[in-house]
Amino acid sequence: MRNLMLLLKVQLRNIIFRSGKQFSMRKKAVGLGILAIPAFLFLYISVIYSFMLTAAFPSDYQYLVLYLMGFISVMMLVIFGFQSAGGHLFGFKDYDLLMSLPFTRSQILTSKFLSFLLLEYFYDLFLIVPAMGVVAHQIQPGMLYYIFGLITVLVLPLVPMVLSALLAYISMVVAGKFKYKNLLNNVISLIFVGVILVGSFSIQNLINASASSLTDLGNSIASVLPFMTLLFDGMVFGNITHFVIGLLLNIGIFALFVFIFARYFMKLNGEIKQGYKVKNFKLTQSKQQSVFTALFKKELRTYFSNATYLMNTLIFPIMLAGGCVYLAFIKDQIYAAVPTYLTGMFFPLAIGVILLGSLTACTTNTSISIEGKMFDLIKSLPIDVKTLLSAKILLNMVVVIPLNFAAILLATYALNFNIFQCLTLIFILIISTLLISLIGMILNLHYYRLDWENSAMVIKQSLPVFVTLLVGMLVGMGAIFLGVQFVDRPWLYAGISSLAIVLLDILCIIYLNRNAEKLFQKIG
Amino acid sequence: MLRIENYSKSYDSKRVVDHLSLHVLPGEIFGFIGHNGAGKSTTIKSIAGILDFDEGHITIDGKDIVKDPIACKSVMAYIPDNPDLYEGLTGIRYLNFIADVFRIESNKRDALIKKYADAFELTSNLGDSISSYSHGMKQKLAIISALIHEPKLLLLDEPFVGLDPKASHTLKGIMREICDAGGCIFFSTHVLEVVEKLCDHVAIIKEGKIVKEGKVEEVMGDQSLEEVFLELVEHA
Repeated sequence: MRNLMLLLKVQLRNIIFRSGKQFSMRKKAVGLGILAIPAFLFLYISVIYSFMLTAAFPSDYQYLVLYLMGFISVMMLVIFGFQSAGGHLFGFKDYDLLMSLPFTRSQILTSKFLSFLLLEYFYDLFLIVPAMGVVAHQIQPGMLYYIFGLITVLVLPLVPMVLSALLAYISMVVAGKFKYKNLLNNVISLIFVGVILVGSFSIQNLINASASSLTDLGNSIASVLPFMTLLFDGMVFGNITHFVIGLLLNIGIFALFVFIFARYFMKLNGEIKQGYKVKNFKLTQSKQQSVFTALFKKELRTYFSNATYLMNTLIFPIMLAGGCVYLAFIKDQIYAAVPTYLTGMFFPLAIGVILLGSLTACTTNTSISIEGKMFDLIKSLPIDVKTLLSAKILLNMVVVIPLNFAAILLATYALNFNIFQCLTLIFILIISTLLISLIGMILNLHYYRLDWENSAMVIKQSLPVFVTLLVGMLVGMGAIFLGVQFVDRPWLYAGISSLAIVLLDILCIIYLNRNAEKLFQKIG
Repeated sequence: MLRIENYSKSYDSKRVVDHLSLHVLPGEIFGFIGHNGAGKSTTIKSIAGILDFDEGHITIDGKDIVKDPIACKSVMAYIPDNPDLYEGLTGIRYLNFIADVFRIESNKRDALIKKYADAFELTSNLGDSISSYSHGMKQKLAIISALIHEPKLLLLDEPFVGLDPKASHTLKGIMREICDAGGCIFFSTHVLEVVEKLCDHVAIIKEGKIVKEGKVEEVMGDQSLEEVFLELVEHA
């Protein structure tokens, strides 16, 4: 126990104190302040979403919101855990150090799981805690609800963590046997996340269903996630037996996993580190390419070799393209359901949706930080800073535009846009993608972090990422809202939007032209 | 103190160390040399309990590293070639963490930290974050952390890489001190002059097999160690 506490203490200190040494107090304060805004916003959205769900449910079934949000939380915890397990639970940086010290494998593994658990509580805080509060507000439960609720919050991430660790391990070992390990890992990750998202959507489709379907919904969730519903049964219905069984189930699965995993810990870590080796490699004549091409290819490889980076930026464009495929299939139903006088809304709405799709997908907000310890080497190379940054900006354009372009073409077919409307949407897509690329670049030049141990730290938890996502969401949602106001004058709306974006593009380009070199040289 | 019997290790189907056996006695400095990829670091990591292995036995102070890893690790220290330390901690916090792990009482740990931090001229930097340290400073901190629990066996993987000449000289002196006090040292290096001057025993490894082993003078004969090494790795 003493050793476990020591390990936990040192790991937490390391997580808490390793960040931001390169920034001044003022910059840190500004950064924290800006981070607090999206944090509160997400919390607010989560509360509102839970309230909307309770409003959609008949009063006798409002408790089901807890089960539904619990389901979403568990799925999110599995996705988060799956993306972050490598580096946290396997192949972690201090593996050699810890294994050479007199700790048991169980102590090392438990400490890693517990520090990982703290990160999972962060997700808990934004997803299940607000839902618990909202449901409590609606159903006015007794004291037991709150006591069991507190315990539930603490134990709920245990099983998702075990699941994500297993899936991450399988994915890493399987991918490690192949030449294009990272690409395969990404494909497995995308499939896995896709399955979870589709599952979540199909459950959400039942929200407005009848009471009998709602009972089915509760039963369906219980059959998939019994370890969670047993706990909720204890909270909502005061079913102590269910709660105790649920508690034992969660803790038991976790303890069993740690016990078994600890036995094969060394072997598993060794397997992950091995990787693919080429047999009979022979040198062939290499092809010379321009500096820009070489840099761009490097950016492309960095991007596609990092599942977290890829999914963090491409998930919305993928969903948008998927949604447009769906629209194309239900084209006739749309026109049958929507009155003719409302079809004029489609074009301005599409402008808003395309803006949302392009502005929420940014790779440049991380592209300096992702260099990590390689940055000094990059800086030492005889490369013009503008060429380097241009390659990073081009990456954003190349990975985001094709999916949104496909979405525009599908929407053009599904919603009967004419050629001018289609071209306008494409134009807006290009200039808005350029804009978010430039904003991300500027932010990352100001707020960078090179001393990360796990790339997820800069891809998911850095200030530029929060800011670009927030700006993208606010502008996108605002554009959708404004679009509705311009139903009668869609071209005026398209013109004003395009002009504003082009002006912002020009301003950002001027800023980067003047300051990029100076900012870049300050880094490191 | 350290006994390796028929140790073999493979990665997938490739055998990287093949039936290696050697003994390191108390008071001995044992140099382990070989070309890149010969199996030195793999062997050292297995001794340290970091890597598992396919065949053989490794015992430290009479205890088996597989059966009783905690007892083995309690009497030894391992210093990697490129130490990955907790960058979020300050130097002193890291040393205190290691001292806590080895249950070193306050007075003793303070004295040992001071002794070795002064010796490596790192005392004034101990309050700084490890992330601000240079490679050499991290190496010095890793060495100090290994020394403060007075191990009986010190395992070092390329310990002189990144150290300035003065720190290298200090480390050599400390290595000799440890052995004079009854401890022993097993280390890998590419600096053959260090082996010549410092070691009592040397083993040369090539493609996972020991090609020569013995007292340094016996292995060298009337040649330099460099000549012996090059001859062995090219022709043996």
